[in-house]
Amino acid sequence: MELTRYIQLESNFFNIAITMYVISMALYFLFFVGKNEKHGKYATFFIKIAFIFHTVALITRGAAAGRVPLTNQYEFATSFAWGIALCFMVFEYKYNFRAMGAFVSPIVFLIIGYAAMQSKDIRPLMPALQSNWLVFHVATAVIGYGGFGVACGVSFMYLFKNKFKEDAFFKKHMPSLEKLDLISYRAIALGFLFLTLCIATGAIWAEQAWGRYWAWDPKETWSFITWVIYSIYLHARIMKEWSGRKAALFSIIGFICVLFTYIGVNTLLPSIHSYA
Amino acid sequence: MNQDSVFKDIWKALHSMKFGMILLLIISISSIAGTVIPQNNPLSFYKREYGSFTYTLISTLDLHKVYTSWWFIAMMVVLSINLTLCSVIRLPGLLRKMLHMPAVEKEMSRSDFLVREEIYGEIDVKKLFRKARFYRLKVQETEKGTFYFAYKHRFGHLGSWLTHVGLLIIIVSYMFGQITGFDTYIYGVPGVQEEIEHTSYMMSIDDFDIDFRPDYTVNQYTSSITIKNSVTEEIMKVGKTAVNEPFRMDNFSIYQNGTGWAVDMLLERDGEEIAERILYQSEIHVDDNQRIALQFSNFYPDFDNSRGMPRTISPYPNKPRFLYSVFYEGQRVDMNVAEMGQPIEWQEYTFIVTNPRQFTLLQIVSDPGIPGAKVGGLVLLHGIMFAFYFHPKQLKAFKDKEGRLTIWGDTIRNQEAYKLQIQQFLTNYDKKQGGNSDGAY
Ligand code: HEM
Repeated sequence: MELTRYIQLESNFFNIAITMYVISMALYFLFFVGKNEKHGKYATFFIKIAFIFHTVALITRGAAAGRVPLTNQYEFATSFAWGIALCFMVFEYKYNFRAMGAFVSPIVFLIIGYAAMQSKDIRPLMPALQSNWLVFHVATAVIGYGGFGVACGVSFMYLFKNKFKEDAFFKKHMPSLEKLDLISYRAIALGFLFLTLCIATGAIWAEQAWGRYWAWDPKETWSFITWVIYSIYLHARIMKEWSGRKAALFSIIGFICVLFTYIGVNTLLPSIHSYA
Repeated sequence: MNQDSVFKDIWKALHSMKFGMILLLIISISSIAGTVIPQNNPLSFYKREYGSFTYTLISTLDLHKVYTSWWFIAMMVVLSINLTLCSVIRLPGLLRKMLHMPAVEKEMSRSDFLVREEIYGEIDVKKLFRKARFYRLKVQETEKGTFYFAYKHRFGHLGSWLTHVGLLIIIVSYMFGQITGFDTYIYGVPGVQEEIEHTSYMMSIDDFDIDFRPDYTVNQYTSSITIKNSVTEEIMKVGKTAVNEPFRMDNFSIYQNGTGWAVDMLLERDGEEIAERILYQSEIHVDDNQRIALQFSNFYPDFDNSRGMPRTISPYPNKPRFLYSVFYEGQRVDMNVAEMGQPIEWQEYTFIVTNPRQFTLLQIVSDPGIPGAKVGGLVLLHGIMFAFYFHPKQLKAFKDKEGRLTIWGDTIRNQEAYKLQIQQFLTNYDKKQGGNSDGAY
C-alpha cells in the first residue's frame, strides 16, 4: 500500500478514536454530575472502543513508517494519550473506581487534542534518532506519563472531595481520602519507576549519540525536576506534616512538570531534543 | 540555648528527611534558571543581552553556568551528606527488620494484629503455607506448641535504602567523571593524522562516508579511523565510528559529531607560491605578516542562484561554489562566490581553491565515571522496584498442644490489601478442605 493511503487510514482511525474519547468523557461527566449509573457503564464501554481504535491507529502508523511510532511530537503526543488511557482503564478496573473517569478522561482529551494539532507527516529519521534505545526511552516515558496522568486526576479528586455533597451516590462511588491517596500513590509508584527507566535509557542513548550521558540540557534538566518533584511527593506522603493535601498538591505540580518537560521545553526553550 | 544543643539541632537537621526534601525542592527550583538562561556563553554575551541588574545577578550568582557553580555543587554535596547520614543511620534497623525472627512469646502476647484467624481440625501447616505461596518456612518447637514463621520479600525492606545508595553512587560517579575525564575534538579529511590530546595515541582518519537517502536526508555519517601509539606508531586499533555507534578504546570513546566542507588552498604572491594547506569551512587563513587573509564562509556543493539567494540543490558536488571573504591589512576587501580553480585575486596575492570534500568532526571523550554511574543506576532501579513492588510480608502460625491453629500476618505497606488477601485465602482454603474456622467474615 502507498504511504498516503496508510496515512489516510491512520487519520481515520485516529479521528474515530478522538470522537469516542469525547463521547466517553461526556458520559463520565453525566455519570458523575448527573449521578446516573447507566451513563457510567456506557462511558467505560466507549473508552474501551476509543482505546481499540487508538491502538489500531498507532499500529497503522507504525506499519506505514516501518518503525515504532514514537519519534516526533505528534507520535509522542498520541502515544502519551494512549498511555494515560491504558493506565486509566487498568486502574479503573483494578480499584473498581469509575468516578475517576470524570477527572482523568479530560486529561486524555487534552493530550490527544494536542496531538491532533501536530503535523502528521512521516519523515525519515536523522541519524541520532536511529537507535533502539530511543524506542525504550519513549516507550517507558509513555507508561510513566500514563501513571502520572492518572495520579493527577485522582489527586484532584482528593483535593476537591470535601467540596462535594455526601449522598448515596457519592458514598458508593467516591472512595475515602485514604483510598484516594493509596490509588494516586500506586499510580505514581508506577510512573516513578518508568520515569526512572526513561531517564536511565535516555542517558545510555545520549552517551552513544552525543558522548555524554548527562549534560543538563533543558529537556534533561526538566525530567530531573519532574523526578525530584515526584520523589518529594513519595516522601511527603510518609511525613506527618506534609502528608494528605500537601502530597496531593505535589502530585499535581509533578504532572504540570511532566507537561512542561514534554511540551514547554520543545516550544519555549532551546534544546537539542527539539527535533520534532 | 547552649552550644551543645545547637550542634544537636544541626546534626538532627542534617540527617532529617524534611531537610532533605527542602533541599531537593531548592535544587529543582534553582535548576530551572539554567534552562531559561542560555548556559556557558562568555560573560560579554550576557552583558549585551540583558539589563544591567539582570547582568549583575547573572555574573555574581554564576547563572551562566548554574550546574557548575559553587552553590549548586555545594547543594549537591550537602544532599549527598544528608543521604549518606540517613542511609548509615537507617541501615542497622532495616537489617534487623529483615533478618530478625520474632520471638514466640512476644508475638503471642501482641494486641496489634493486622489479621488473626483461628482454624480447627487436622491441618498440614506446611502445605497451607505453600498454598499461600510462602515457601520457606521456619519451624520452632516450644513448650506450648509449634511456631511456624515465613517471611517473603524481606529484601523489600532495603528498597528505599538501595534507592538512596544508588543515587549517591550516581552523584559521586558523575562528579568523579567530571573531574578525572577529558573531552576534546579532532577534525579532518581522509589522510589527516593527529595526536589525541590527553592520551599517548594518535589518530588517522582513513575514510569518511555520508550515506544519503534518495530525498537527500542523511541516513548515517561514518568515519573509518586508525589509532596508533604516538611514539612507536604501532597500530592499536582500526575501526569505524558512526552516530550512535561510537568507537571504543579502553579509557576513551570516539564519537561521530559533525561534518562540513574542506578545500585545498594555494596562496601565491606575485606568481610565487607562499602557502598551501587544507582550509576547513569557517576557518580563516592569515598570511604574510597578517597583510592578507582568506575566510572560508560557506560552501554550496550544487550551487543555484535562480531564486536570488545562493543555495544548494543537492548535497553532491555537481556545481561546487565557495563563499569567501578576503581581508587586506585588516579590512574586508572582497566577498564573493568562486568556482573551484578560479583565481581569487587581490593586489599581488592570488588564492586558488580546489578539491572540495567533506571533513569529519570527531569528539573524543573519557569519562571514568561511567561504570560507577551504571552500577548506581542498576542499584537505584532495583531499589525502586523493591520499594514499590516487593512489600515484605510475614505469615505466622502457632499450633498449640490441643491442635488449635492460630494464623496471623504482618506487612509494612498496603496493609488493608494484605489483610483481605489472607482472609480470602483462608476462606477458600477452608472450603476446599471442608474444615471450619471461626473467622468473622
Ligand atoms: C531524589 C532523591 C531521592 C529519591 C529518588 C528517593 C527515593 C525514595 C523512595 C523511592 C522511597 C520509597 C518510598 C515508598 O516506598 O513509598 C524512599 C523512602 C525514604 N526516603 Fe528517599 N529518596 C530521595 C531522597 C531522600 C532524602 C534526601 C532523604 C533524607 C534523609 C530520604 C529519606 C527517605 C526515608 C527515611 C525513606 C523511608 C520511608 C519508609 O520506608 O518508610 N530520601 N525514598
